[in-house]
Amino acid sequence: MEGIIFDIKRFALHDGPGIRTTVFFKGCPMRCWWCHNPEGIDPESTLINKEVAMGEKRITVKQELGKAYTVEALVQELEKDRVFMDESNGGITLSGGEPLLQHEFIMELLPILKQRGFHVTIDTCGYVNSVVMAASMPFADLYLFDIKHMNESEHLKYTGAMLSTVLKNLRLVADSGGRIRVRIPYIPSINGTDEIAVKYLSTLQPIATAVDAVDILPYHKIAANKYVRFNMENKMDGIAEPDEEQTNAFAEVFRNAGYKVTIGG
Amino acid sequence: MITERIKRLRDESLNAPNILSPERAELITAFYKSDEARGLSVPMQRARSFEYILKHKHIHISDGELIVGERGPAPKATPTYPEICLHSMEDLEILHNREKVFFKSDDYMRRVYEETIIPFWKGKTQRDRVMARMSDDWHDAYAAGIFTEFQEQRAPGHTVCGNKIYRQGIAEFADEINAAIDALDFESDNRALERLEELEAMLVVCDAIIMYAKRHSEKLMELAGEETDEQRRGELLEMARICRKVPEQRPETFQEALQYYWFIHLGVVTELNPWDSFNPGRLDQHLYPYYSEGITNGTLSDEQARELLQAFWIKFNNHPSPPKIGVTALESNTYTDFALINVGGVKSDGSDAANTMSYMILDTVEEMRLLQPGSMVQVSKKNPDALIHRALKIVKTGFGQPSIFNTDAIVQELMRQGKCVEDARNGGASGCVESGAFGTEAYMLTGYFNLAKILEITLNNGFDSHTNKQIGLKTGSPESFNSFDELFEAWKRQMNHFITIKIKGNNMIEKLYANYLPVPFLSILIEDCIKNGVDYNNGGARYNTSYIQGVGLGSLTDQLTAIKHHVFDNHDVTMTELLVAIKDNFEGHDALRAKLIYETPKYGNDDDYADAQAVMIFNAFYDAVNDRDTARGGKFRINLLPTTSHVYFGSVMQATTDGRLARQPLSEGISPFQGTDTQGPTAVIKSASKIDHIKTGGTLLNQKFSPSFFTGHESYLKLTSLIRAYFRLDGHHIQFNVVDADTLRDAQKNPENYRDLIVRVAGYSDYFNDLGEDLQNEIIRRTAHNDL
Repeated sequence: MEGIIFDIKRFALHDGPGIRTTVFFKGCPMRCWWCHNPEGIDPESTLINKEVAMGEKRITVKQELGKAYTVEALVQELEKDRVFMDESNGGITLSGGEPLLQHEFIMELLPILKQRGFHVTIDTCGYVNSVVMAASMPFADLYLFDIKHMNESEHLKYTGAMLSTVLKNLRLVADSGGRIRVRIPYIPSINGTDEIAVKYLSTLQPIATAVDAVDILPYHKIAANKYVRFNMENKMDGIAEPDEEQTNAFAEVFRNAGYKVTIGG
Repeated sequence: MITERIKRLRDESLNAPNILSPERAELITAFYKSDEARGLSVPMQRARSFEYILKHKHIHISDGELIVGERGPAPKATPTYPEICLHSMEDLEILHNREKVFFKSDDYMRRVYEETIIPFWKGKTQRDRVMARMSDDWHDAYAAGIFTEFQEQRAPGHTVCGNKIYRQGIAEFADEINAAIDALDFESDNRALERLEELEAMLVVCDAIIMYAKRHSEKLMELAGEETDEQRRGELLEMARICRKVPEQRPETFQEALQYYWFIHLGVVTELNPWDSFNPGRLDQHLYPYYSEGITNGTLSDEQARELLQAFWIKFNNHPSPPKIGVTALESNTYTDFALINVGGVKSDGSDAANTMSYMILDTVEEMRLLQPGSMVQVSKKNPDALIHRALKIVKTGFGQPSIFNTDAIVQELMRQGKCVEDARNGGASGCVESGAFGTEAYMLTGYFNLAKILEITLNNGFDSHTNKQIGLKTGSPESFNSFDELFEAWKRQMNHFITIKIKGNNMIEKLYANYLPVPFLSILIEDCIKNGVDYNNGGARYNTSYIQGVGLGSLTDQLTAIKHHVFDNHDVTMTELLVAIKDNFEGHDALRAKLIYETPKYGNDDDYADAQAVMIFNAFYDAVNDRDTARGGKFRINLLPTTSHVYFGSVMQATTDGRLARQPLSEGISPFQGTDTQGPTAVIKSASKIDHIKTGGTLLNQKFSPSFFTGHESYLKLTSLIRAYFRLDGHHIQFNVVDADTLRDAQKNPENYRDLIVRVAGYSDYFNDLGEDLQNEIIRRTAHNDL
């Protein structure tokens, strides 16, 4: 069994506690307009041309997007930063794409990570089969759980996915004793109204005891050049980034409701 | 908080012009010309010249000063040392007109040099002796840029003051010397007379430094007499009292301790121009008892202690590194004289040594923001994280201090070399990153060694393209090698060949210093020179170590890895193609160069395929040098630090198989080559810790972070974990350069707006504006881990 992985980022500091190694699994069931890792949407490996600099010159080299790993090979990679995880109470974060989409591989990987004593965080969009979500629970110490919008039709429009499925899985994790950091991408013109904020609060209210924190992730255009590079349509053209004041105001809503809030994860 | 007085003194120090002072050169020349100099033993000649200088030199006391004494006649008036190396009129001109790190000389200075100094010393300096004694092999390798030589323009030093001066006054040193004289055994010790001459010289320098302090006392009394301000008069009288007391007697107050050290410092840097000037070492340990007692009995307030420390800091900044001559001025170009104050670490019983004074010293570092002295924090597993957090908060401000060292590794390194555990724990790091047993060890750097250049020589079958000469062994045409191992064996043979040339030269030079330039004053400070009756430069110290500093580990690793990967393992490039591309400096070979840069495993990414070569290079270099005997009865050891020599070493080299273009700098310390580490700091740390740091006397690892990384308490915790993890892996030292590339680019364009911008260069900090353009560019290029 092999997993398709498009990046392994070491010294990841914003994907859970401590110093972490984050594994980016290829393939995602959502199509978020603002996606920062559009190269991770397609589940297959692809070969792309990459331009590299040599002084003034530009040379094209081939780059493989997505590499197949066996569980053993991946675990060997993850062991590399063990000493930093030990020192910082860090661990492994499985992200993507959507890691649980490659559930067969994941279900082989997770027990081994647990057995080796890694702190495991799963960064999920929540739009997965509930059976898969439930199966991951005994091995995950923390979920970074994205909730991208609070309005069913808008959620469908901007992500191509059903909000109800996401929320069902959120309840499942919370009710089975999982720990959750809720992650909300904040794009003022899309999900930034007071009304939506209030909806977020009412949705979180029943599971509040399972929520360790709420991470507000203000939209930024840092990924715009990826869309150009990978020749993909960028639907976010013309949509503004929030300024600090707006972001703080949005975050304040959750803070006032008693949540620990971070901005930017 | 900085008081008005300190602000004024700091400004005075920052604004003082860097000038050359003829005072010392005139005095030492007058002494050597006098009848008094004739017929003396060499140590006594040195001692009497020391006494002569201290007796006649101008006493400068700045308005408002609390700690007194200047090496020259005024702050930043820098003396020369013609008995070691003689500046020519042309050198004076170069130094005067140099855009960066200049030293101005006035008409008087030039006249004195032309009429008196040059005629007297020409052909009779230590440098002349050294150069005359070196073999043709040595000169060829030196000219080719295989190695540099530390002792051709500056005296051996590289040592640090221990706690002796806080236990004893100089009067007690003299008692110890007299006891050693009484114990001399003329019946059976055939070196007894040599010892007697050395010990007699030591007695003279003891008296000389006491006399010099008393001259300050007299001048202070004079100033007190003229002073109208009551409070200042009180200060002057107190300072006069202190200068009457120390260094003759042991210090009993905080101010006495600082003033005592400062006289000692001036003595060492007046006697000769030793490397790294001199250094109070574990200052928090030395000062804490005085601070604690003063606070307890109400004779010292926190504010007073802070002000005195700040005043002490300014004294270091008043003393730029003495300038070099000729082309070597290009090799290392800085006002920094490498005094590195240590805080933290462990006590001699192994317990946590961090104390209130550690934090007060760090406050001083932050508030004074001066180029000198340098500062570092020793971190043992026993020290609290709070000490690291405090250090990182200063690091964040982006002026490159303090650097962070692993006490537990230093102690192991020193013990591996044969030091007893207490002496090892009382040690630390000095200069850039060099481990030493403070107060008991003479550990001298002898020169940088260009590991990467050896591969260039190997690939040219012993021929050097820079000097157009066959300087190495004929190890065979590289096209004839059938395996990577054959290539590596050839490199190893060439490396051993040049190490032997270097070591022969070093041993000759050590003897030349022992015979012609003993240092009786430095010798009384470092144990056991008095007990042995042997000079510091002749092996008198308890421990004697000579280092050869390997440079270009990262570059050479990548160069060898590229050959292994493409020529021998993947067979996708031939050796001939590589050699042609190098010769053409990659012109017309863009695709090959891109392959070498972007499609080849590189050191610094925790990739065992590449890092294996780093380990092989390290072990071969270690085997070539470690444990070989020095002329002083010590041992040779290795270090991996470059200062700025990686720029010079790159400038004498062709293009290389890692895709680096001709004349470009090499990698520095054990850091990856600029820009090749793409997996982040943990991968760099993992690669760097695959070599066995404990077998060295210091390694240097540089990591650059943008200031934006240091936001919030979490970032400090995570950086602390990063440091702790590196140290768990026996890493010796890590430093963080905190500044973003845009700032640096702007500084390059508008230097006038960045006069205070201090950056970490390599093992030390410097004003960005004082760096050459190539070094500035390199610092800008270094991988900025911006996207954290």
